[in-house]
Amino acid sequence: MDFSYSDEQRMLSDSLEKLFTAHNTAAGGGTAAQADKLWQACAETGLIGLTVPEDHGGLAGSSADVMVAAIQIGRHAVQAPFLSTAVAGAGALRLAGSDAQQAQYLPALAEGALKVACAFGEPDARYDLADVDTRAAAQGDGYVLNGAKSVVFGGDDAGLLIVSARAPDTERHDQSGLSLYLVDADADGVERTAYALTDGRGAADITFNDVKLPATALLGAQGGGYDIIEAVSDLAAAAICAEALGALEKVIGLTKEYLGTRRQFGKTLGEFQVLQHHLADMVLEYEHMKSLVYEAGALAGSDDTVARQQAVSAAKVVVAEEGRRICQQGMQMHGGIGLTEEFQLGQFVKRVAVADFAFGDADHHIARYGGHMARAAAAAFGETEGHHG
Amino acid sequence: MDLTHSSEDIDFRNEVRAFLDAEFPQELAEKARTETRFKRDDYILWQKILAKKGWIAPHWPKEYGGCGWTPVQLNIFDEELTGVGAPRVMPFGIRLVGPVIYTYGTDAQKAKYLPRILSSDDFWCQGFSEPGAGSDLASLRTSAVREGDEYVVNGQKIWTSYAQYADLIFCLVRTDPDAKKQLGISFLLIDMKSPGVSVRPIHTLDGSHIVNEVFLENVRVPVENLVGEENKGWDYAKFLLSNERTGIAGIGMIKADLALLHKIALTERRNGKPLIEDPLFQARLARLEINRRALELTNLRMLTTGGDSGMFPSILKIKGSQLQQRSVELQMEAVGPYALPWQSDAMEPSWNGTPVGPQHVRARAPTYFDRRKTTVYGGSTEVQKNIISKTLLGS
Repeated sequence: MDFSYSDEQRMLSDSLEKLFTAHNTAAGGGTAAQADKLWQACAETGLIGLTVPEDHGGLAGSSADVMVAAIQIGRHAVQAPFLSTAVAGAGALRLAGSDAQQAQYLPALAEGALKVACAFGEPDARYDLADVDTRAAAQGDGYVLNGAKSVVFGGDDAGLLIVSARAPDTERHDQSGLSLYLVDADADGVERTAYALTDGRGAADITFNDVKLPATALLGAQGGGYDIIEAVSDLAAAAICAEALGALEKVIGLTKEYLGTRRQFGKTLGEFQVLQHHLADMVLEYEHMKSLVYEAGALAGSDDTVARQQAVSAAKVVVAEEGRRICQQGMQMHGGIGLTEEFQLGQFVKRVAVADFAFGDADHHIARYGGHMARAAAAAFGETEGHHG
Repeated sequence: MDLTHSSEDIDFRNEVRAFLDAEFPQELAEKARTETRFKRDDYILWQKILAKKGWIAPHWPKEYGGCGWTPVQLNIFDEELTGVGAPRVMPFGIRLVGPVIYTYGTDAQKAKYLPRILSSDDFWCQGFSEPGAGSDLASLRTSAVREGDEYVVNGQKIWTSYAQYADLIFCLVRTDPDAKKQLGISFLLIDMKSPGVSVRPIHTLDGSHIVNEVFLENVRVPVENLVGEENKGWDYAKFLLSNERTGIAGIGMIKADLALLHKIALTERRNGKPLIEDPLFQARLARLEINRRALELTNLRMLTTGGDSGMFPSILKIKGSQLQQRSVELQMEAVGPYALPWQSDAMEPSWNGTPVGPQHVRARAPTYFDRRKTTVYGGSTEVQKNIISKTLLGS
């Protein structure tokens, strides 16, 4: 039982701290040229290939290493598409890609030359990853893709899209009808509406109109997409929880600093007990959240699906609910200045607001956690009287 | 970073389980199962079994009878004992006054008291709070005036748990009325059989009698019962309270509460299905479980990193006490209308009436009221928040 960073993790964290400070990421996304420069610098430190196998030019890092990096990304409000490319994109290619597919895409990804986005969500599906209406029909040696995906992280400038789609003859919620396809983002019939998320990161809604795919576009087994989709979504959820944790550390730090300096009624705000207790509440919840985020980071890549899902959902619920409350308190205690674009607090609370609704909201993860809990209880104590409904 | 238990810890857990399988008395298991209140003899019976095994004070230094276990092992031990419903080891001797005596006491005090604490031959209680000194403990007024080889003690203590069972009480008393609040306090050990000591029960909302008022009228206490130096008692009290807080997250108890809650939620039904499958109830229960998970991990994080900040005990105390309350709240919600019949008497071992409803309902409302104390005792939630914010703001 050890909650501390390894030496390698400490080095990773320190090098990112230096990198992001040098690029002044907390000041916003900057120009396109600045963003490219940062992305290349990230590639050089190994951040983008963090989880890519060494054979393909990466560091073969674990999900816990991703957590360490993501905390720094959150602390510095980095807008680069780490989550979509280095976590989700690399994760899907790693978990489902053939040797040839991995060799084709992962080295370019690790070098920073290829951005990848996973297009799993759909307009009417909320967070149900099996609720997919996008269809991939066999045609000749390949497939033809039709459908629409919504709020694709990093979808604005990804070169490669990983799209979930179902066989035309399967029902809309049928998990076994789902497969993943590699789609060139510039292919004929792909239309993107790009936009910024609340925290400034890029995303897109994407439609596919008779997009022709070669046979080699299939990622993983036909009909075997769902487990990969869930696994990748958990990797991303754990990472965005870690980002939020880093952002919340800043929210609390800024609030603490403000309480120590701002004076009203002849004393510092920190001398008012009601504000002291608000700050104590923020830290109390933050520390408990931190433990859950660490656990999610440790288990996000686990083969034990139940353990993985429980850990990720627990962290996600607390990040969504308590993260939101911590940010609200932070804004409240800063007063007017906390509500301005000019002051840096806003960067971090917006970051947390994105984590709140990405990769499953609190309700989604409460339901998933509750399902595991009920099954475990039934297994431990036996079915009582069975169902007489 | 490795959040799994080591194989040594898993072996240790199995060793504790094997001991409990063999040694936890059937009669106590039955009382736990039926949620019947433990009495003095139950506590003593169990503590003597632990003492015989050498596990009564595992956190003490080895030279005084401790086990040399790691913090994680102490945590496992607590979890396993609470998990079978064992009576909790009374903290007053083992957890509170014992460490004060072996840290600050004279050799004579160590020789006299420590063996009888370990053997449970002395039952201790704690004389800190007074009617006018709760969270503001340092404003206590019970006085001790030196007369020759004795102190003459006058005053009143309150919220004294198990004073009705106790052989001895450790008290904070004021020995210098002119000194600044914290500076005139001394730490005194008093025999409960001394003339002038009287105990009056306080009945709490749950229908039980645990706490008392203790009156001290011209009680003559030998000077050799002073611990450490005169007027330094506040330092010893702070040391004692820091020991009290580290064990107070109550993870074992919360896990036991949740196991019972799961059983109840599988038995109770809504719309023809087990309550645990009802989306509204399941969501509330899942939130509680997630909080339990967070508390457990945070406790382990604190134990393994040595608690890198002075605020960690307070953080655990606040969250732990909240969850100890929330778990029994949900137990009460789970039984619905059967939360209404008041059956506190049915929890007494001497009761032989006819219970209302199934076994699992009778303790629900009384336990709910009993648990309200957890956010009040051992430093209230508000006092803990003062400690946290002081650590953060340095004010």
